[in-house]
Amino acid sequence: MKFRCFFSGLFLVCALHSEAQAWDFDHISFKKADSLAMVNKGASLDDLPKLVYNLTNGLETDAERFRSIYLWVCTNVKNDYGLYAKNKRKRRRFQDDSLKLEAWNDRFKKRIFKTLLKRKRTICTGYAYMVKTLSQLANIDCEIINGFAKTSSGNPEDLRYPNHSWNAVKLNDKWYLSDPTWSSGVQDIDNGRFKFDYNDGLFLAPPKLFAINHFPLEAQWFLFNDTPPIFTGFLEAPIVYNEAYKLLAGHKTPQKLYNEVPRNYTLNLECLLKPNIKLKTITLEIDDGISSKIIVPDNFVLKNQKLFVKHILKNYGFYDIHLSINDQLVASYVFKVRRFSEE
Amino acid sequence: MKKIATSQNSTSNKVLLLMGFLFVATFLCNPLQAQNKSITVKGIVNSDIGPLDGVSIYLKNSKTGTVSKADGSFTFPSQLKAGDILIFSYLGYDKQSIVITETSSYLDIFMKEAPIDVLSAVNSNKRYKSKRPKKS
Repeated sequence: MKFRCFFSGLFLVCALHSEAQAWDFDHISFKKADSLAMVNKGASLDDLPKLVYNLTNGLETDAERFRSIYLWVCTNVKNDYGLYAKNKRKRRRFQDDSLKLEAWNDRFKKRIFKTLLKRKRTICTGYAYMVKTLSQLANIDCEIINGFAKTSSGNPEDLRYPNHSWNAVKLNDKWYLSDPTWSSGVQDIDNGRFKFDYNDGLFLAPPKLFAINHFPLEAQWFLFNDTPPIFTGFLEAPIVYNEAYKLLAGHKTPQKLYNEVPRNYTLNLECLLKPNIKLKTITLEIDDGISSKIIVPDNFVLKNQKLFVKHILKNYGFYDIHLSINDQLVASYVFKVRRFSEE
Repeated sequence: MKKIATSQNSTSNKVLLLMGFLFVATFLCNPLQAQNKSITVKGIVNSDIGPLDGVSIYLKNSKTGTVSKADGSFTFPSQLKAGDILIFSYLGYDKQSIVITETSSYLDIFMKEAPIDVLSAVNSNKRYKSKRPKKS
């Protein structure tokens, strides 16, 4: 019994360690770094070395220096929906003509940097480029990672070609992943407006959670110690929202967005939560296409930050099921419950 | 009493001798001594589209720096010495680090555009809605 306790404890420590990212820096206070980023709010991009000096002067560790740079970029650079829409349209048009695509990229690149410099507005690549450039000026190893990102639109069309850029940064000889674009704020697609709303969850995010909606072109940037995921698995993965990064340290099941199951199937939801989240703030919402209702699942357990939710899907139908914590959307799944088992 | 004074004398002599030795050794053994002369660095920054205006040029690990003029020319505001590193940085171009040597009084710098693919995905936090099968 003692051995069993010891090994399960050891397993938990290992599991938590493999997820550990921002937690690696729990012993460092980012207060000074954050205040430097705030003090320099509105600074211009005309003189990047000066900006880096002002953002990092007096900070002792690379983690703090990177934090100040990252927070400054995320709270000072706006997402430009017009540029995003134009680039998306053009890239789609030239997707089968590599020469035209390259020519467009060259032209557009100049415009992106001009807009960034003059108006501090950009799209994903501009965010990742800013973080990389400022970090390198602070002698921190940082890379732009290109790949696929799965957004809450769930539109498979968006994933035919690479559509997103984020960063990998090396701190104390270990690589970490961060997504400055999605950390920066929220885009209202209906009116094109961008609202700053810093999301700390995407700063040094847990690689396994990150891989649910980020698929790098080069597998090394998953930062997995074990086998990297395959693209089909990524396409089939559930929708994980930005808010999830604030609340989850990992997501285990369901592994697919779309699930076809027989009646009386038990939905099994398992995730690893960040510390200090209360069980009563967790809700499931079931939408059958006509109406939606918030339900109390049949079984809820929160143990050692591991959340287990079980709910029996008794009636046949087609359901969108949304998991929320603290009234914030975390993940969505689709369940088609068959009427007859052979259907 | 006399003995103590003598021993104090010999100790201070030893210290003086050691300091003298160190002083001479510093001059004799320092190969960088010849390189320590000050250099005024001037130059021009060019790119594919011609001279670059507003390139930040600064001495690594310091706040000392300048920016290039409209014709791409610059004069570094402080005297440099061999071994110093100048960083050239401009938004949209790859950063360049140049190690100063005794012959670095005029630098002709060519800045290369950053080789990036412009990509973008917007996350709106909008609730996911599945495409439902049409009822037959």
